[in-house]
Amino acid sequence: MLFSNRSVASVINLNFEPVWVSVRPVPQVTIDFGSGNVIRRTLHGNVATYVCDAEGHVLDVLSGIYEPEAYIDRLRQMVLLHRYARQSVIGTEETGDDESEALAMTLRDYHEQQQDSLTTGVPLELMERDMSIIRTEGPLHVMLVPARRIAARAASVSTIKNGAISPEKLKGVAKSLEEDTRINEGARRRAIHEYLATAGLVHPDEMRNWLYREVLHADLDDPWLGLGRVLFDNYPFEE
Amino acid sequence: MNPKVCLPVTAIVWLAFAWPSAAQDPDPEHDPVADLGKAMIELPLKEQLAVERVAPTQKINSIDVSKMRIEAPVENVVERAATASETGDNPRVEPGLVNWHADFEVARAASRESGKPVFLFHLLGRLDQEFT
Repeated sequence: MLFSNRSVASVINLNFEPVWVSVRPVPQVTIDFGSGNVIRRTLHGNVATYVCDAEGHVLDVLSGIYEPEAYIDRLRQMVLLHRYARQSVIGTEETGDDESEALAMTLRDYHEQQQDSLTTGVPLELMERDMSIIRTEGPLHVMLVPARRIAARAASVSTIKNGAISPEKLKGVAKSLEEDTRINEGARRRAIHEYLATAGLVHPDEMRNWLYREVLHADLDDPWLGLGRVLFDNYPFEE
Repeated sequence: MNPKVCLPVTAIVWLAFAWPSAAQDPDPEHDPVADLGKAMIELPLKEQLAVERVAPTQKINSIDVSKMRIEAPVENVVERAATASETGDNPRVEPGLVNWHADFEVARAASRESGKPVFLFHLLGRLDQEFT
């Protein structure tokens, strides 16, 4: 499990206020091959990581399962995004500007630029820059800049270490995670950036069903999670 | 003769002569005396059989008690295993090494205090269960 990884847990504990919420029971698949040979699996992977401010506004979302290194990399970006968003509301009291509006504009610009960068293939990342020469309110300023490395942490080799899993199986898990990460960082991220660029300030519950239906393809409003056609259409004995 | 008086008298006369001959019928199937004798012999036998029938049952009961002494713990173990398998349909597990808050509101309150962002993880199923 991702949260049993010491590096991942450490990054979360140090930088976030973490909470998990179940959105519905997980579908379980049991196949009985007879003679006591039964396998049991769940339809896993339908997870989402939201990063929010203290008011519960969604700053960004990671959909699906990630390979640990890529997940840590994205989480570090989320920490910077939180600071980037807070920068935007500093001084709004003095200027009389609306704090929520300032935050909404900053997030819209951020998501639009990220969406463009994924489309053009020129990745952007948030970085701390020493701005003490030209700014006085903070020595380190978070900026959105062209990424120094290709956003290809996703393609990096997994470093999962678990003695309980055989090397062959570990290789299989790592490959599967790598593939998941690649999908999550591609079309799924683009869809999320597009949604957040246009939706304004939203809370997790307001975008939850959309995210599961349109990005993770698991419709929470459907008791069959949107899999009804696949499950029943070609089954001749269905009444 | 008045027929109302004549019929009961005829019946009494018939009974007076016919009854003793019926009582002396040698057929044991219809001999109440023979039946009684049979009962006198058979009753104690039946009682004896009844006692014997009860005794083994009591012995079985006493065997059952000791058997239960042996089997009850085993049955308890099996029962517990069955219960565990029911609740353990999805056994509880530790939700990783992360220090999770109880709910989103608590995490938000903590975020206001610490200045850290909220990390909200949505999933199907429960993070503290094996199958999720």
